[in-house]
Amino acid sequence: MTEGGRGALPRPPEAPYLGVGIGLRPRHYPEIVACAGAGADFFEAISENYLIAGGRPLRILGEVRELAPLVLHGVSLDLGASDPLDASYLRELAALAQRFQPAWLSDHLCWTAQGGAHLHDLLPLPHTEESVRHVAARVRAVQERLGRRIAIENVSSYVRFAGDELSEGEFLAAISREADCGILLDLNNFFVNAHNHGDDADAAVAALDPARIFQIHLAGPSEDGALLIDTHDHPVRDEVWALFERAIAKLGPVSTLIEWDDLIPPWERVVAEAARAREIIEKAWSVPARARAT
Amino acid sequence: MSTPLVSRQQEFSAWVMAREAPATTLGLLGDARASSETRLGVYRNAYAGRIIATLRDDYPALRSALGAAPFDALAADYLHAHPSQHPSLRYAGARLPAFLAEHEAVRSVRASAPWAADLAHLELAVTDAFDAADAQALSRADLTALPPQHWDALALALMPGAQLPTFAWPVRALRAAHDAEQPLAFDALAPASERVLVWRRDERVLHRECSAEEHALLAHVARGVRFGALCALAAEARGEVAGAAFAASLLARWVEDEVLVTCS
Repeated sequence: MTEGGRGALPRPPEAPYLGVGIGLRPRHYPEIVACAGAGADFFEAISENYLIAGGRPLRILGEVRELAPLVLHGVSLDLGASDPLDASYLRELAALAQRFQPAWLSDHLCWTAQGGAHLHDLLPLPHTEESVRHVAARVRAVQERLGRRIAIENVSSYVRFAGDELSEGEFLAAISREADCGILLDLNNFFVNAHNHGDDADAAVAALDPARIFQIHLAGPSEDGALLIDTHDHPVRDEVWALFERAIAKLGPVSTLIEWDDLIPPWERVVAEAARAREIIEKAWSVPARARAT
Repeated sequence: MSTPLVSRQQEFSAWVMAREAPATTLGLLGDARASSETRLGVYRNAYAGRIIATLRDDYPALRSALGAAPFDALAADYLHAHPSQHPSLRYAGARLPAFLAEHEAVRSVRASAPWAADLAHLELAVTDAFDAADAQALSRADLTALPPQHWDALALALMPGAQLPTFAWPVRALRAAHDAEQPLAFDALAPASERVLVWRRDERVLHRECSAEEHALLAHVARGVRFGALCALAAEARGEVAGAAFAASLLARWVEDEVLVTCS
């Protein structure tokens, strides 16, 4: 059985299945270099951490790029903001992509700055037609500047706006369609929002066009009273593993990434989570073991 | 142009960044699981928490010296006065040394910890050197290969990110003690002028004290100077022969320390 057989849905041409990757974090640099990246089929680097002039982080990123495919994941494109797109940031991001040749780039469906002040958070957008038009136009401008399609990621949220016109899945689907961009499907974020707002995570996944899904994110939230917070400081929860199995069964093999950003565990534990994701994909679909497309 | 989306983001960001939580909840929805105040509070806490955590990482010795709670209070004052202006958190704390040195809101910190601005300045210099541009260091082999008649014209320049701060307090010892996981003896600190060179070598940021004479000559190197001119500058205080010998000894040390870059 070959990849994409048995009814797997169409994949985006620029986002082939890379396997299961791990978010590149400085804590793991020594282990990654020592084991030549074994355990990760690809790496995802936070773009902003490498928008610097030189030094160890860029040297390590170059070494990692030699070990496995790389994708760049940003937090400051500010696709939903009302401030103008940051031309300087875009220029630096384009230069970083030119230097390290990532398989693709992604950022979040949110806003992070207003009036020149950066809040450094993934802030929520009202799910309205106005937001769809606004964000899609900015995504198109970014794609034109970078000369390639990007993937946009659904975020966890803690508030909902009166007057929302679309469900979260419909909102993400509409923007990706109008912008002609890819989707980074964060299943933990859909799970968190299902908990926080009473959404249906499976319905949100079903609303998306599979041919636009570049990648899946898996991470673990923390609890704050009655709410779940997207802190990436816990293991992937059982409910999210179950959601992942259902999504993979429907979508086919999708490049999947394990994300930790705080209380980052030893490399071996992250590798074990990646192995579990790989097992789920390979149990459902026949794919080249530890495929490393370059 | 003001649209519903722009207005909402203006109100939302003002609410999140305000020192005290405003009474309004921006027309956001609460439910049985959590009120709109609780839900908005997640963003308020994350905003301050994330940036203050970054400042803790960027100014570790200052935090140790001031204490965790006073440092966090300082960071909150700073964040209120200087919201982040850059897409990367890396630069969120760049104005903390000037804030500590000048801002009215932290006059009491200056009174109780008059060395704090200098220590912050040193720690910012360390951060800036850490990810400064890469460059090839001028080596002993480069000098050996240089014909004697070309020495005067040898162009000298500092490594990218190298800095030459002057402090009124001997704060290098505080940062060095922190890096060595030793107790910080800041209670016994007495004012003493300290001229410092901060630079990166082999991916490690180093700092050492310089004499006033070396520091002044390094300042010329920072602006770009040829070795012949450096000798002439050294000769002003020491005379021609001793000045040239002194400049040569400094050059040897700087090359050994990989403080200089090769210039075409």
